[in-house]
Amino acid sequence: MGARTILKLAWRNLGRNLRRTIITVAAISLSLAMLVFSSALGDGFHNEMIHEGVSQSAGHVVVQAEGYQHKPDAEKVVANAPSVMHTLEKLVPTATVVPRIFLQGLLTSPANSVGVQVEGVDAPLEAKVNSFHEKIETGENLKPGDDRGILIGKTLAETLEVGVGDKVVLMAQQKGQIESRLFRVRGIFHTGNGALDGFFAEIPLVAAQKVLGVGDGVDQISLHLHDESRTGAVAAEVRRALAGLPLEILPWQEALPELHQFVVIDNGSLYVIVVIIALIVALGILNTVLMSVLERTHEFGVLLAIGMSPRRLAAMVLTESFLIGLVAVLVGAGLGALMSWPLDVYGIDWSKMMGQGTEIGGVTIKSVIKGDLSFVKMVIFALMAWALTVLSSLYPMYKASKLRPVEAMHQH
Amino acid sequence: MAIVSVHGVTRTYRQGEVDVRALRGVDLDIEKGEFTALMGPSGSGKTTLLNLVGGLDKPTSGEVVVDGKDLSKMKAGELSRMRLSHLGFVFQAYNLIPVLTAYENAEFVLLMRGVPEAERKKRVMAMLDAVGLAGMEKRRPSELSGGQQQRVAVARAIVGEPALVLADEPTANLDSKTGHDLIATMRKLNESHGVTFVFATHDPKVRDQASRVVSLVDGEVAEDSRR
Repeated sequence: MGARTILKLAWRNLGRNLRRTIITVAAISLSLAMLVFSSALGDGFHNEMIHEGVSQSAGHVVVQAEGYQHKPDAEKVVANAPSVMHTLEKLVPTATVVPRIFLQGLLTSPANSVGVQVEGVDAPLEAKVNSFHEKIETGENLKPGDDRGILIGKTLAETLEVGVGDKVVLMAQQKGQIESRLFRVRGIFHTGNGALDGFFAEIPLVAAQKVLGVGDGVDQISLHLHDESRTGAVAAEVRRALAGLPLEILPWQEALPELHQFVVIDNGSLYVIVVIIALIVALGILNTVLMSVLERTHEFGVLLAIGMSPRRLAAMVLTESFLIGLVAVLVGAGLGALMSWPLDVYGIDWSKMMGQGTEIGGVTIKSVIKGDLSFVKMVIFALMAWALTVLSSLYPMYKASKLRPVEAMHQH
Repeated sequence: MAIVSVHGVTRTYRQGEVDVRALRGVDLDIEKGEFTALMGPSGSGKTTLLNLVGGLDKPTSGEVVVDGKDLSKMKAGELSRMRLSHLGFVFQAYNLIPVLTAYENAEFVLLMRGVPEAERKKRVMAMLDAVGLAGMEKRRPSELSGGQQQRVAVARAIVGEPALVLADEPTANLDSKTGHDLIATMRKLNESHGVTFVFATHDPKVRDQASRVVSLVDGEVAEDSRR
């Protein structure tokens, strides 16, 4: 008796208790579909976090002064930044190379004073890599050549009682001395994030360099890649190109360790859920297949009596699970893809649930987050579900193979 | 030449706290081509003896030799190969495979033996014709009467041309006429194909057709008569 006959018998056996077969297939399919959907949702969420985190406060690869990551210091700067940027632009022509300076200071208006985080930026370059400029509610973005402009948050503007066009003074430490500089508010942004709206400001890079007295130095030069997966390779290339300079070159995972850890932990929790679902489904399948074996004990006894070998009987039971698994993963993967498709195309608007500008893992995320359905992951999940179905039938298969004809035929 | 040789066979079952001695030292030789009826009251050991001869069960002591092979020394896999190649079974409750058609049920043994398709078809069609089921090949067991199902079971048992067919109360679930027709069919196959039959039965119709009647009482052969 060949594989074809076993396959035919197994297939027809599945039709004998069609309702049970359908329920089993549905349980596996729905679990797989939910897994595919959760994975697409989680991956989309992580992609968004990485994208936003990388574009807002670092890059896929960052170049900093040696030791800056461990202990940031206003005096640890990338000296001769234009030359380093030029080298990087030539090395990775497809990347956007962005310089930044980070400082802390006191922003003062006639009405009030507030301690703030300030970022010195090249506004046109920033606009290429993040959407911060889209949050400006009144006024406009910083312009090249304007070294007195400042962007402040809505809450900060209210605290300082200033509007677009008003003057504010920024005081910061420069090599142990207090340096102050006058700015004029060009724009007021509203992100929905309390920390950003109340305690953050952007000034032109040149102005920041003057406040800190670092000449053409910057705190960070970041490379923004089109393909995030090339991060490691590009970091290695940059390290080779800048070897010998007192600089540290970090991929985003090292530059933003909190974000990276958040993604790793979140993925880990998804895998824990996967294992729990897998165990529940496996027990369900075990129960179903075992039931179907036990209720056919008499028939199996007859098959053994008329000459079917225990090995073939076991193969038939295994084939039944193999077929259930095959149908279930095809249905489940299809259903999962169908459920994930609108998530990929339209995304989910979380703003009603979480509010605007929610910060997760140190990153302000968008209100609409799209999914990211990975074909490779879907195939892996489907193969896992299939393997699990087949593995769950090993015990019932063993039971069937150990039946003794006379005893089995006495069972009804 | 004896196709079945049973020597000093005992079979004791454990039933709760009690040992039940189903066979108490049976000696029996069955010749090739015989149409033998094992008769006796319930509990006399007919089915137990049939199961031992069919390699479905093992004796507590003694020797069961079928077609020159000692079944008591065989492992499960060897026994299943032996049953497939040398034996045919007909059970009281028909025991057809419900998901297969009459044709497929009859074909099953040949499939397991690896007989080529053309040969299978020829033999199955001939056998279904011989048991009076021509035209019913595509029906599943649920679409056949009890008598028709038992005819399929007979076809399944004989189509592989086994050395020996063992039938356990094959007429018990059939009405008198159907039972009579079935026995007549088996007798005809016995005569035309030379198949050896051994029945465990209460049915006088089987006794009337049998070439040999072995009576069992309390697990021992009480009478053995040939015609």
